Amino acid sequence: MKNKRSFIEELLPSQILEIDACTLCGECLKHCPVQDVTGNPAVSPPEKIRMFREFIRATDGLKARIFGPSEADRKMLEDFVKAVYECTTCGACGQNCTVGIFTQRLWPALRKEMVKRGLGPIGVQANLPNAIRNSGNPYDKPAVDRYKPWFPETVKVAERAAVAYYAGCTGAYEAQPMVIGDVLVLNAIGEPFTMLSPEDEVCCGFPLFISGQHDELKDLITKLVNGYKAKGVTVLVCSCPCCVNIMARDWPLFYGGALPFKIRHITQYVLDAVKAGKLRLSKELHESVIYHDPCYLSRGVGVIEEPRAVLRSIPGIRVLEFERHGLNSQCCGSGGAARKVFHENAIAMGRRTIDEAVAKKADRLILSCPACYAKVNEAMKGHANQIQITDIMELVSGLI
Amino acid sequence: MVNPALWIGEWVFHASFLLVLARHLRFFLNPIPLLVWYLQTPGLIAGYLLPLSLLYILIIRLCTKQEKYAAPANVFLLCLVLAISAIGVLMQAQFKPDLIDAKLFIYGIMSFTPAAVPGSVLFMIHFLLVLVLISFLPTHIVTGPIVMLEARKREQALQLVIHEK
Repeated sequence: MKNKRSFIEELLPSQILEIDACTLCGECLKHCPVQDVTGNPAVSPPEKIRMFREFIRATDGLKARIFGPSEADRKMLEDFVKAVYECTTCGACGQNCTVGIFTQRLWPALRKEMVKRGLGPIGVQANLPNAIRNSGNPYDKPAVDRYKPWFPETVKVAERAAVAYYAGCTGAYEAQPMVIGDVLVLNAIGEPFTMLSPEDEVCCGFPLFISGQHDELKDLITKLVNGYKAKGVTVLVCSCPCCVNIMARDWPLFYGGALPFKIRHITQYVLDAVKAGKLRLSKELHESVIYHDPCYLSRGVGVIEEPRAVLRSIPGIRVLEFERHGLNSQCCGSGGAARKVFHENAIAMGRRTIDEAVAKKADRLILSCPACYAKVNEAMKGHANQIQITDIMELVSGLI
Repeated sequence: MVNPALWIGEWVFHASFLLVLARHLRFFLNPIPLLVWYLQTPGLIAGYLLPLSLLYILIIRLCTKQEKYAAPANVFLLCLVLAISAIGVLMQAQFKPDLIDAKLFIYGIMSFTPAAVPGSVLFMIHFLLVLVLISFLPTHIVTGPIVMLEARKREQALQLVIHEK
């Protein structure tokens, strides 16, 4: 009976239109990182849409409305689940879509539909709600270790302040050089900033959102928003693009109204500080660096120019670009909660990023996402091409 | 970022398809509006371009290595429109049906007063294939432009997601 239930309940009307509007032209395949490393059109964007149309036709089509819904094809459902979860949700397909389908938001909505039917998520993604309920983070690591192992003793955190910093789970547990750089730079700017306690700074909800598991989201988000509200926060700064994305786009929806503070990516906050003369990068760096745009920062919230402007403010630096950058940036393989399940794909994508950076003769690959940082570093292990990988704030903090 | 060769073909196809449709309005309207008269010559030229553009698209989609995905439904539609337009060209250039009979036949269907079927076999194949096309007509011709407009608005609003409003 489950598969006869409507397939459009979790979709916005605009997303139903988008599914219908796909011309199946196949242009997006040239931009899909999963296609690049698997070469398998069965997991491609138009194939996912084609299959989902079949499901809609079975339960909500004209025939279904007249004679009653029919069972969606079980084998096709299995194929669809694999395809939709193998995707990194980078959104490059949508960016290059001939009709402009917003796939970065469509794929998570389709995943939610699969979760509702008990068909998703897959692999370790299914443990995320339990891990977050147990420990407040998707890695199921103790809250007490969230800041303690890496937080610099020299940095003072205010009890209450207008500015708050959210470290994020991946930064705190898997990409610590990045969060160390963040707090060192915030400290150097000189404005007091506050943070929630390690027990209160729980997951932002992005891993649950992106894997289609929405049950815990309202509680998590309400807890975080109320926590910052109680500290008198007016600007919440974060360096993780995925966190920033859900904060800016979805927190208001789950919170039930406008947030009582603004969301800023750390590069925006740091650039403002550089422009205002609050942060001076006195040391020179005579290197060519290449900056990788995280998908959820560039295509997600349009933060493209600020990281480059921060880099260009470093004396002596030369900033190179990937062939595909900005809104057209290429996924490094870490997105969409797929990296833990489709590890080989993620490693292959990470290595392509490294290879291009090396081919461009960059001295350093600059990242600004903890997931990219963790996975691209992992991809470099045992790889023929090697390059120094540095987070943007890790770099800036070393030049103050 | 799109394949420019394919894009040119797609534009020529869609524009010529629209002009050919406009030219065919003379079979459905009486009296024929002035605009439809004006569109007869452009529609005639478009009628020749239409099958050529479809052949071009088909060759690029099936033979270019760059194209990794070709949906069977798309190829079917492409072949169907190609057949309809090729027969249309044949009727225009060589095997002309009686246009008065054709118009009476179409008019008869529209007014629920069936008229005699025109004697041209090509016309009947052309007409039947159009009926098949109507039943398989992709709804993206309606939803596509709406989504395109939304995408344009979204692109403009991207800078408002997290930047100062």
